[in-house]
Amino acid sequence: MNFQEIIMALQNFWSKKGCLLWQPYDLEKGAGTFNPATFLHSLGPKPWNIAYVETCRRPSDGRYGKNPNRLQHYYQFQVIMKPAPKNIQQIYLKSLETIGIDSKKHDVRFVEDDWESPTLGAWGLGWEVWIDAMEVTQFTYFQQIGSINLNPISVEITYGTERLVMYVQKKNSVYDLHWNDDVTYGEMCLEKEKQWSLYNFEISDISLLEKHFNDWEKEARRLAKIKLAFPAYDAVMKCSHIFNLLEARGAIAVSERVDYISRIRAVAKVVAEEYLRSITEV
Amino acid sequence: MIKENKKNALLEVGTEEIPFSYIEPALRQIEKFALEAFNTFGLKYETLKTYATSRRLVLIVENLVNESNNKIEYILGPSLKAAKDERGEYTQAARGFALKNGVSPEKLVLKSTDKGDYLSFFKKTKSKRTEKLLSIVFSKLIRGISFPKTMLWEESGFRFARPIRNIVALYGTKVIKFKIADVISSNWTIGPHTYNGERIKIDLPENYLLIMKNKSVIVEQNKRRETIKKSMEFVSRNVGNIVVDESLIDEVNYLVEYPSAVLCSFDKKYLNLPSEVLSVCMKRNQKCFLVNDKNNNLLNYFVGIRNGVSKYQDTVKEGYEKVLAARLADAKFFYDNDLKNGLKYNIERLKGVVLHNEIGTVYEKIERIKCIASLFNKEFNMQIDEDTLEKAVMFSKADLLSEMVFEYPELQGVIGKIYAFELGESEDVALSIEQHYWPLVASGKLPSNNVALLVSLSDKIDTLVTYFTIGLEPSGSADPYGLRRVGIGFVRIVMEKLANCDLEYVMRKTFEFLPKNLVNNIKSENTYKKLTSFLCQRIESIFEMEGYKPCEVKAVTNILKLNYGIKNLGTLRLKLNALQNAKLRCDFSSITILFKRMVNIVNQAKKQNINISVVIREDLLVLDVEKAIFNVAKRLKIEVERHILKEEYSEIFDEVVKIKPLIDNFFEKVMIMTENEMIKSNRVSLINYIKDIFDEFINFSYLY
Repeated sequence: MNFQEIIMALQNFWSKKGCLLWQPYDLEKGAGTFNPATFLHSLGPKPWNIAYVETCRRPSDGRYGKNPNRLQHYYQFQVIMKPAPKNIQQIYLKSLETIGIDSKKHDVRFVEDDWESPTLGAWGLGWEVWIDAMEVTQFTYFQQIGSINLNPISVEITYGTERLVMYVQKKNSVYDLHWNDDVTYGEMCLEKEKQWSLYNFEISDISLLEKHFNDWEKEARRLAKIKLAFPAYDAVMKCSHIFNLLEARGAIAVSERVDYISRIRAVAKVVAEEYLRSITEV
Repeated sequence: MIKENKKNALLEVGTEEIPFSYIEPALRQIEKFALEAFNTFGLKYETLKTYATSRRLVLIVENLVNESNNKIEYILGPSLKAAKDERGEYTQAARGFALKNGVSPEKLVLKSTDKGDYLSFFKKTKSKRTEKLLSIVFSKLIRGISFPKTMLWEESGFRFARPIRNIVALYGTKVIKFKIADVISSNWTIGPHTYNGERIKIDLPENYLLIMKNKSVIVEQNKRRETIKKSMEFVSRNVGNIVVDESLIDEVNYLVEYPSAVLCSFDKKYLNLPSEVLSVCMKRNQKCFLVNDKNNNLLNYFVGIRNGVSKYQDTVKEGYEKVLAARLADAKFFYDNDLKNGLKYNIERLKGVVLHNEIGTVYEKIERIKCIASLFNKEFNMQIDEDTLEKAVMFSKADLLSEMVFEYPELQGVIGKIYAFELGESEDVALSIEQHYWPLVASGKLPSNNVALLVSLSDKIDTLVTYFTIGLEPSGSADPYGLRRVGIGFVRIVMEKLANCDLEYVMRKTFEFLPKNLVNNIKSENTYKKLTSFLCQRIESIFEMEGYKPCEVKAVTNILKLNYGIKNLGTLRLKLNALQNAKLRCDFSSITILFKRMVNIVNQAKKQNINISVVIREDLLVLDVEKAIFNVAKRLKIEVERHILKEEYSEIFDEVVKIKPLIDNFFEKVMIMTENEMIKSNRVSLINYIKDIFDEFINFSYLY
């Protein structure tokens, strides 16, 4: 199966399980969890079942296109189910079957991994899923989002699509993957990886980023205060990405790091509370 | 054999994968709870066993009787005195006790005990059917298990390590019904993941283990462990020997329900990587085992334990090999890069690594360690070449920013040593990088290299002084910076290598090297005292861990606390051994009684404001016995000082034994608290003089 067939198969599978096929969000983010469809909609009592591909950016993970596994830009396939179905592990294993991974023929393991996003004030318990020792999925029962306790609990299933496709297509480098039968991942992304790595590590304008961080932090607070939770959350996302850029640039000392993280977490909390208030009022 | 009025009971808590480290503690809790519960309810049984896989916690009770015993017991209430007032009426206490037990006070009976008569309740518990009791015991048992971290997964608010998805609860063929979270118990269990959630019926508890085995689940952890070992040996029999790592086997054992080993290989070129690196790549990321040849050299093979029966092993092998190859390629990349960059490059970069806001950077710490190490070297004449020492200190943290340590933090120190050797640094420098972290655990190895030893000592005292100065000393059970371990490491090295040294001067001097914002002489006196008493406690805990009695330990460490000094630590163990010997050799209790008597007299005198002088006036010694004992005491003082100097501690006990009859005689013949104030004061001073002779040795008052 090529890359896009695998994405289609997963979309098809989860759509049949009752998930809305959400779409990626148009702001930079480090993980699918940042999409407001996950971060905000995990809050509150309303059932919520979605699946979507998310483009993720982790500036520090860039390797100038030289490492076969590490990228500063990649794709996650994200599933959220609230409340978590009782047989969610079985459902997940079935989803692997639709892309040709039969759990009877492989060593499938759920290996303890407690997930935490300090900037989002979010954490959950769960596993990394290993297929023949290859980590292909993060499987988490959210417990807190925006520092707020959750009930009902959402389960988040995040497939690392590149890893999964490398496994299915038996490739050793991400750049050799077939996106469709004619075009490779490398053709689509290699040059971008080189340029972005250069930008992230060496070129980005530190003082500009610092200024923007401060501006968006203020903006998030201002917007939350006037009860505009969604726009306020966008501002939080921007803060988070700018922080990642500054970190990749080596512009954040260890001692400052904690401070930056707690500043983002604080605004994320304000925004989450405001969102929760708005939906319970309606 | 199942007897007629007895049946087996089974509880299986079916969960999603529980972290392996949680499982054995959970089993211990289950066993303890069940033992206590069956005892409380008077339920007799023959055996009680607990088992687990990553997805099941299991309790099997064999030959459990079908009803509980009739039970009779007295519950003690208030004493008779407190139960009735002067008019013979029941008091509030008595009525409250009766009410609590659901009877009127008249129904209470009198019970005599050693401590007197008590009002008590004669409680008869009628026998109950085991089925009924089991539903209480099982449900409480599950609710009572505690885990390091717990979670919610459904709306009832019940917490557990991971979601509970199924519960089997049986007594014989009978299902014990109860509900936990959103799960109702039944006689159906769930197969392994590969059975697509297939449900399996358990007809009888005694058939459970076999039924599960036929469905590819080995529930008994010990059998599973054996299977892992045999299976590993089997697949590797033609290539070499498994490097057995028991703790890794324990871990793997709780990651699988049915283990089967897969022999895999990797490219020979990676055998050039240090074995420590190979080992960590396999162990940590893949939980795989290394394979040695006959001469204990690593081979380019490894063995993985998969979850599931040994089918499609080639597919699994291919996957394992691919993942490991990627890891090894990464490791090789880090290794080559690190060597290319060299260690000096990373030392410079330590200027950017902040240890703590107030303490400053790692680089600044290194600068301090240099000063401290040089000070120790001179002060204690350790005869280490200053240039070597300086270099060893500079390089000690050089691997912290290496790519390898970033990826594999557990290689800190180890990889630095390897790099230093590769880059042609001296043995002293290389070993210091690794060994200055030693001892890694409280009872771990001390540095074997003398330079490393000094660096270790200096690093540790700097850590302690800086953290104590900014008020981050451990409190209660909280020790987030691991300072107790650092403290233990420090005193262990001092005890061994600076056994007869006085550290007061160097320790005080260390405060002068603190970052400028922290140097404060007034505060540092206080911190110094806190630090020395903290170190004393570490010394005490070391000896107590070794099995010495706390009172013995305190008797010998008292002198340290008295003087706020870390001094002559090497003598402590000798004193302790002499003390233990003395207990065997002589009538030790009469010695302690003697000291107790002397201490009491001195304390009493202090209370009465009697002047106690260090000078004994011979002209006021009126009786011959007094004169004689003073002469003996003077000689004794010299003898004891001489013995202390020569560390002949057993001989001091001999001296005590020798002088004891004389002192006894003195107490018999001489009235200490006499009328004449001057003579009284002189006699108390004489007692005090004798007692003080031993202060430098041990404090006897802890021993009686």
